[in-house]
Amino acid sequence: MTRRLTVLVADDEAIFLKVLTARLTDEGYEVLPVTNQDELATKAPEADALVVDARLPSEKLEGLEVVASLFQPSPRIGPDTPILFISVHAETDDAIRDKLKQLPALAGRYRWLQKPFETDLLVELLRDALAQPGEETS
Amino acid sequence: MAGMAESEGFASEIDRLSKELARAGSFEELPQRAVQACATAVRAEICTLWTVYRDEIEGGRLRLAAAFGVSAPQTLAQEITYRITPGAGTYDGVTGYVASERARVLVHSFAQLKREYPFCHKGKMDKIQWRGRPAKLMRNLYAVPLALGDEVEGVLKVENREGEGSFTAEDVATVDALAQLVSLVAKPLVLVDSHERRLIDAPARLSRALLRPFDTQQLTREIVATTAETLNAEVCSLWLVDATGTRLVHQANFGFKGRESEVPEYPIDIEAGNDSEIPGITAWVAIRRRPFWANSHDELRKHPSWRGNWDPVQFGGRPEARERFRSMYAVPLIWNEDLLGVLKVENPTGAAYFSSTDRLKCDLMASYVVLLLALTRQARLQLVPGMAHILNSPAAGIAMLVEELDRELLKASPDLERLRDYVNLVRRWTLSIATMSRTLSAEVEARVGTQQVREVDLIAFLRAQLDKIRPLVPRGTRVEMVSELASSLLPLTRSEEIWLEIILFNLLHNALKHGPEGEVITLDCARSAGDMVLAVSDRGPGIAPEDRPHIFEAGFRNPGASAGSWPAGIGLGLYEVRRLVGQLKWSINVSDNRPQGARFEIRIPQGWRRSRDAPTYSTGGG
Repeated sequence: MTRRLTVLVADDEAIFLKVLTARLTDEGYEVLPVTNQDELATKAPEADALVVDARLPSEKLEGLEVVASLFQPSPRIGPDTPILFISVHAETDDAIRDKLKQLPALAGRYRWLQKPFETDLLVELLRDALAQPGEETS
Repeated sequence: MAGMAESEGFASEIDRLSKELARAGSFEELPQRAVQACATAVRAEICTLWTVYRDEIEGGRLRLAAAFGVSAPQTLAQEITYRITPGAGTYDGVTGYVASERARVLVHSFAQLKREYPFCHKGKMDKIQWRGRPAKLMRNLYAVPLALGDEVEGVLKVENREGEGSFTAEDVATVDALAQLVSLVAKPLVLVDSHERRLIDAPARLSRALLRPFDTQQLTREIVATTAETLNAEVCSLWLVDATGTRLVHQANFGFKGRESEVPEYPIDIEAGNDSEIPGITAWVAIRRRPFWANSHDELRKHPSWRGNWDPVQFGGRPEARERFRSMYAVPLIWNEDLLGVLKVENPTGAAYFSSTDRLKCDLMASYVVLLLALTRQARLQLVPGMAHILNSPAAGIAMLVEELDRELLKASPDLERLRDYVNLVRRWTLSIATMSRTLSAEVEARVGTQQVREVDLIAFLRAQLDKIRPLVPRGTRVEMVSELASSLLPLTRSEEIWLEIILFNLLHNALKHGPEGEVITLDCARSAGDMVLAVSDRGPGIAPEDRPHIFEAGFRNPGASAGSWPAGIGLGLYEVRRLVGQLKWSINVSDNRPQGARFEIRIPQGWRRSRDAPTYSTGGG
């Protein structure tokens, strides 16, 4: 029997949490919904993939900081754990770019989805990222 | 013989005064030398010179320009001014009377002053000049108006002739003769004062325009009017580079004579090699980024870029332009290497040309204008993304919900509960967006709203607001209005109507957010002890006592509320409600609702509008 893969979804806006949880559950994933930084830091090691609002809470960019801290001083998540940041801001926005520059631990480890996005795209990215070697992805 | 001796005496005094004035090393020294010379001429212990200035609120006033023999001239200058009120009947001191009625006052004792001029003595000088003992210290006085033509420029006053005697007829005649020369000193003092005042006022006036970063038309009108007034120019025009950066577009004009539709636009071709390829002097100033001036139409026409496009618009044709054009100065507006536009002044009032000082003043005004335009642009750039961020998140949430609704509907057997849940979420989030956008636009909308008061039927107004909100209320929850009044007229400006709408939207949104789903939210409107009371009540968990002092603070969000299905919000709703209620001079109070929940009560005091210089509200029976 195959283990259901676990996706942690972190967002303090209930609407995104609700929609993403419903969709990923439909897709067969076990979903760990979290709404704050502490839960994110605690539960992230249990997940096979992370979907994190870059702003958590909404005024700050602490979602990024908490995920970066998972790699330091010693990694608490696997090096290949897929990380998807979601935000109403583009990755190229000045504030985001500046913050990412300050967090080198994240370099090359994440994908970025700007809200609103089609949940199909999120599912597709997760499926690709979580596929076992040799497993077919469409 | 006596007359001849007298006029010879005047001549020598005038000569002495002229020499004294000639010794002045700076403009500021002139009045001081004048009072010293006048005091010496008539052996007065005290001589003061008062000049006219315009007070924005009270009109013409006199203030001390120079003093001789006064123990505390600085205090006198700072604390005492006299209003000029021709024909008033009672006057602001003897000095005010002399200037108002162009009268001469000669008294030989303080008692005579009190007896003969009871309608003007207010004792303003008693404490400062006479140390509280005017009857003992003030012996005699002669005051004359300083006038050139129809205008009064000031007052010259001599007091306390040295020795035992008082001012003689000869002293009076000497002061009268010297006053004519002193008037010539007073006149430029008055002019320089108003000139300096204009220069000082200019940045203040322009800065006030910054408070309306979105009202570009008003801003540009303020710029040209202030520039024209500061430079004493008949015409001032402002041209700004358009959003494409390729055209110079006319924005605002002061003293404009032509039709707006005929005003030319100038392409800005920065590649233009020769000046003759540039279509107009305004465009040349923009492209070459250099100021330009001409002091005759001939000089203007000699410039290779001159096309005469502006002449028919402003001066009514080219031949007329040659007659009417006198002088022009145009300066580029540049911020950080970015060309913003061109500021142009034409024809100084009452002068043949703009002097080099005028051009420097125009450069100074251009710097203010650049600063103003840059700051305004900065304000917009900061405000718009801020507002966009606040609204983007719920908008993105709704977009994703709608997509998921679609997906669910396409399933063979849609999950009805999930559908209902999503539809309710869409309602809540749309209401939140509507409330937030109203709250954020409060300042902008209120400022453009007309300030004219009109009678608004409060009951109909409240019902209309509920009708706007109802389609966004989650299914099962009801929003009801309770009022025994059929109508109630409240005089409101358009801005105040917008504020009231924002207040109601926020209170109702707050009640819906924190009240349990499927319950009733009520909006009461009633009279209580003569006041009008509006109240929004919910049946939620109420407000915890520890949160109550903080609920109106900016950024406060109720952590215990059942807001999980609503956007996190920005914590500005109730803060803005209290701010607007305060602005209206109403009051707001929060209490427990019965049997449970919270009740926000707004009280509009009886006679509220009357106290704001407008008719009070009246209520109809119900």
